[in-house]
Amino acid sequence: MEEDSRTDEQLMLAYGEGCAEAFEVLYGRWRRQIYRFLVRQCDGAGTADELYQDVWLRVVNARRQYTAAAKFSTWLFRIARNRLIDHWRSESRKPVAELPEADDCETDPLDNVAAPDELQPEKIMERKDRVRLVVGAVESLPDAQREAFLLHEEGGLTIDEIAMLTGVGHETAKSRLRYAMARLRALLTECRP
Amino acid sequence: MTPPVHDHDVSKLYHEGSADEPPAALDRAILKAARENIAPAREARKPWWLRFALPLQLALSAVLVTMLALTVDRNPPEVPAMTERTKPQHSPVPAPHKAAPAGADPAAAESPAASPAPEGRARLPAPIESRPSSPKADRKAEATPAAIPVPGPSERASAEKAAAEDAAAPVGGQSLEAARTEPAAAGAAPAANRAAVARSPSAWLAAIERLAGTGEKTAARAELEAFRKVYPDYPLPERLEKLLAP
Repeated sequence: MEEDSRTDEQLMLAYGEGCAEAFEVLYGRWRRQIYRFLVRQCDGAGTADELYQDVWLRVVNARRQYTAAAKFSTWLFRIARNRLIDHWRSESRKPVAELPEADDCETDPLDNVAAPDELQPEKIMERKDRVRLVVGAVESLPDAQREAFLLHEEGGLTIDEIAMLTGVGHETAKSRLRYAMARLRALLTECRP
Repeated sequence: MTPPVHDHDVSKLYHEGSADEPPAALDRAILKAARENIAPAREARKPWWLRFALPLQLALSAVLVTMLALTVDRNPPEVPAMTERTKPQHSPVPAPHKAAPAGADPAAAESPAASPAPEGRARLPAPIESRPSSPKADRKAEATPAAIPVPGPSERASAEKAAAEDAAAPVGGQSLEAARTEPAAAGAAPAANRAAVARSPSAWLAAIERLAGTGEKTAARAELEAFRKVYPDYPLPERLEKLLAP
């Protein structure tokens, strides 16, 4: 099957005009990324499935309102993030947006947020597969850093887009991403024989 | 040293281990919802010919109304036609005077060429002399025996008026008295003729008979002669013939 050469924005506009095939192409492009973005930040796969379905249903219902003012991926991940924050609020969990804003200094307060016991570096290092170590390490990241990392890796968003989407400054978004990478790199270095 | 924003090794390892995918059932449900979301819009689309439904309905309605109006104009209902026919009966204007305005105003709607006249109107343009001045006169003419000649329009109008008076007045009333005295007082044939025209043959003959009965046979013969000029074939009563026999 030939790959559709249309951009995400063109596909979404086509779907807004009633082309179901355009949505199928679009869905195929982004289904994994959105799912992983959610599943890495949820407590369980069941919750992630529920949120994932809600996100795409919001996309479907908003097809007429969509305008190509921004990248489709930014718009899509904003929907996913808002849905995630709603979930956290319903679970009485502090959403990412309310975390203290980080600055570009070495003493990021998010660095002091401890990961759960089962995700401590010592236990993660027990995993034989380095890949699985990285994935697990991502889940052990502080919320803000993890979110920035996932938006960068899964959504392919730039620092500016991450900053705009999360409602923080450019430097803060950049700092979060940088510390996330540093933490993961440190884990890999520790596990290296 | 500031750590880099992007670490290629970390990114590569992460993507290699990211095999998580949404369940197939979830995919199907979302795609189905996406299709159903646009399905109502497709169903709502009307066929191309239905877009012209309203203009077509309006055009057909206009054509029907026009045809109905033309049909009513060409074939008017009976009641209005009868009303138009009965109008001249009640009009005191004589027929020749009525015909004059129609001829003087060619733009009048009476002309069949000016407008499609109804059937009742289409029969009107017959010569005035050959048609009765009114339906009442027509009925009168039908009731008259065939042997009796049809008088002229003015004579017929006068005779009709006299007949109406005869029918209204009792026999031997004032009109007969006037008929009896008029020829005697005037003594002139034109006057007698005018008076004869103004009465019915039977009343006229009755007056002549009375005149002869009083002994004025000369005047009665003159009156009879005038009667003959008007009604040459009218049968005379035998008694009158005996009275006037020389």
